[in-house]
Amino acid sequence: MLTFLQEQGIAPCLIDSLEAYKAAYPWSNQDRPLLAPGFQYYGKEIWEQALGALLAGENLLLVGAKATGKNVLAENLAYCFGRGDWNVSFHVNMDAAMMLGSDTFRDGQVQFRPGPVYECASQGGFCILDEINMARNEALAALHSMLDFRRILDIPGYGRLKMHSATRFIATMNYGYAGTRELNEALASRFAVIALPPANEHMLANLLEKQYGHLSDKIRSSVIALFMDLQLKYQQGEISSKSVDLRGLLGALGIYQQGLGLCSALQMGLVNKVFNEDERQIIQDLLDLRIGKD
Amino acid sequence: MSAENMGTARGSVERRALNMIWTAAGDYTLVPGFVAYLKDGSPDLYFNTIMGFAYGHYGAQELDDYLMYLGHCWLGAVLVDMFWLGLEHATYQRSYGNMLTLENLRQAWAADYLDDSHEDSMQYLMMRQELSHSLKKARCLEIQGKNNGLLNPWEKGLYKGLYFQQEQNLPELKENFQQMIKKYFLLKPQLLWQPGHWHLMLGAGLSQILRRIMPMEHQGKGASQTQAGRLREKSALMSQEEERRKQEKNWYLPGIGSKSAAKELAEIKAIYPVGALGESRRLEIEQQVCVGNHRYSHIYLAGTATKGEAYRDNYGHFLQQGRKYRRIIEDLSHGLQNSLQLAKGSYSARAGQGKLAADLAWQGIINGDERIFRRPLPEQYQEFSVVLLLDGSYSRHSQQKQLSAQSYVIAESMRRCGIPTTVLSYSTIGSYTVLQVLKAKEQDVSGIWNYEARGWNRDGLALNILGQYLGNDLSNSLIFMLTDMMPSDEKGLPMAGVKSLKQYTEEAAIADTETSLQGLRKEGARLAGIIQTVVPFQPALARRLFGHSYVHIQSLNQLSRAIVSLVDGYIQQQI
Repeated sequence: MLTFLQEQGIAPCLIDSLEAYKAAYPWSNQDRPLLAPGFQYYGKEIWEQALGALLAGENLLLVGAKATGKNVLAENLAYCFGRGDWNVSFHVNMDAAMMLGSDTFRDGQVQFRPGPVYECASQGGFCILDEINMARNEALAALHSMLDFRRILDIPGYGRLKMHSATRFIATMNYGYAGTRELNEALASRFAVIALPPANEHMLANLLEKQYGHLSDKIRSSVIALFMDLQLKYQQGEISSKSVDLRGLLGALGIYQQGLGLCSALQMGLVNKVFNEDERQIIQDLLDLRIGKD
Repeated sequence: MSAENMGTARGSVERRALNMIWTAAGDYTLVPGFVAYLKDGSPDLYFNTIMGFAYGHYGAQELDDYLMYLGHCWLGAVLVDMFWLGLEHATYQRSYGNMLTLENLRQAWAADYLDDSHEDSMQYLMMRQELSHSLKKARCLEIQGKNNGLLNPWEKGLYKGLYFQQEQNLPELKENFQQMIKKYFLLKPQLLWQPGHWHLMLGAGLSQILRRIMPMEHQGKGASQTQAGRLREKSALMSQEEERRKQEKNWYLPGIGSKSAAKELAEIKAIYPVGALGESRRLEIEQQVCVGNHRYSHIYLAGTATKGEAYRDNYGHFLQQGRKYRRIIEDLSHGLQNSLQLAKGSYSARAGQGKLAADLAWQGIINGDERIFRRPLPEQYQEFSVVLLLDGSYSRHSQQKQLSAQSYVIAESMRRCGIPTTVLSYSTIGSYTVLQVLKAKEQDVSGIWNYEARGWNRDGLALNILGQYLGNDLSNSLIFMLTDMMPSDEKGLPMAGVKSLKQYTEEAAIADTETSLQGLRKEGARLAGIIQTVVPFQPALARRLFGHSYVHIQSLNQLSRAIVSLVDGYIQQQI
């Protein structure tokens, strides 16, 4: 990961601080080994913002449209800081017990069964709060004392947890999609916020070269042009965001790798995600133009 | 097929064609003068792409200007076809290396054109320009690697001139083309230009696959679409209003220098032939609301008549801008569904009955706690309905089409989310303030197109009438008032004495409106302002009238988020 950061041109002072952090907090939990992330996040500026905030002890809120790499970046950060990560997916029915823990009965006794947030906070991990704005404010209020200067958690009947110094929270947030809502101000103020930009050509080129190195230059550039066209059409209001799906694109390339035609694979990954016929035809036209038929 | 469906079907085909051009040009603000279709009416991917590249490379405005110039002549359609054929050659040469598929698309395009299996209609054959067809056919044969088939030396020479070179810029291409016209048509180019002979050649050879589109509404903003223009309009309207005031006596006693109420009512009924209430109910409401500041006023509740000119104008505008408005409907519906979904939620609490919670079962045994079930909490907010109240005064005339479309967008989005919606407009004519029901709760949304801006706006009285009309529904209504916060009426406020001294405008009218709004709130209504104004927006005034429940709309893109935030705020207050 260090090599990757250096290749990205991350400021040496940040890399030095990162190394110092890792030396100060070696990871010792054998039950939760550190796993190298499947994808790497490309974007020097974003990396530097994220590293700076986390090294300063801040929590991060990553805001962006779907498939802009929020979870990829969060996992990358956990890995490069050398900490285990706990992933909590938020939903509208989330409550405090699901995050922090609840009573259970074990060995003839009522015991506290810690939730993922509790475990992460006690072990100094990186807690990824995915789609944080899906949950209700009542549930999120349980996190307040951990996210601000207090860095504590009081569990009724079980005392107080003082958070491990290495613990960090990285929240991710989509905005404007089904089921999402505004994050309340009290919660938002406890994070340093980074707005992840939509994918650009350079980033896509790096990603495809790394993940699908077998693609010819022409196909790679055509696929990138296709995605950029989709993005532009969405920004101009010609199509919805459904087909502007980087995950879908990467999935399609994986299917193509298995031997299916590229056009068919991209139809599965992008075109068929749209159910409005008019919109689907516009996207199909784009596919016919950039990729052609199989 | 209904007019709306035809418009939609044509619209979607045209939208595809435009998207093809925009993709190639990389410019979504471009308003192309031409789009290309295949014989079956579907958009021509190859040629629209070529056009897009050409527009992007040579400059859309300059290119279209020249093509329009060529079009203004006896041989206009043929010359335009020829120029495009020449551009096709140059553009293809320049672009094919950059695009994987262009060669295949070109081949398919040529094959499609040469395909004799299509049974060309008699109409197509009659309209097809033989010269254009010969030249196009020659090009397609060459694309297929065959001899171009031209035997006529004149045609051969002409065709040679259509190998435009990719290195040439537009002025050079134009110059060469002009020389070619002169040589082969033995005419001075300037003589070809005949003003007033603009014609559409649909289906003539290449022309069947080239079809001019009507200029988009946003091409070249008219004065009324710029802020300066709107301000000038508003000033002009205000001047007209002032003139009218000067001409008419501002006596407020009926019967002195003014028409009788009955005569006025007859005139109102002539404008609004369909009433929404019986006469006795109308009088009942009038007695309730025409008191105090409005004691010399009258009221009328109108329904919507058959589709008149306003309907056609408003609906025509919507069809023209359909893509934009449909996008907003989708966004707004989506946002409203979010809000409703989150508010309803399935929050549950521990209880002594309900659905057994396996994770709590042990508490029953160990702690003797019977609350080992989960019970969903009752819905936390009450079902509500939405009322759109539109200022229908003449000051909104220039925005009539847009306001009716916005109201349609809101009502249609609400309908999709199952929120009952009523749409009304109000205006004041003479001493009558008319509340027109454009869409009752149970009616469909099409009546909204009847919205017509006329008269003055005595807002305070209109709100009072609304309160009476809604009756018991008032307490579970979220009322959106689409307003510019400029109530005014030629009939002033009655004062002590014979002659009215106070105009119903500015502070006096605002105070009266504020009182009416407070009255509705006391009855349980929730009010929100959707403010669009041509004069500088006054946040303090908005807060005075609507508290925190208002949005100031400066562009259509703000509409869906604004409405969702107001609905969200309303729901949150209830929870």
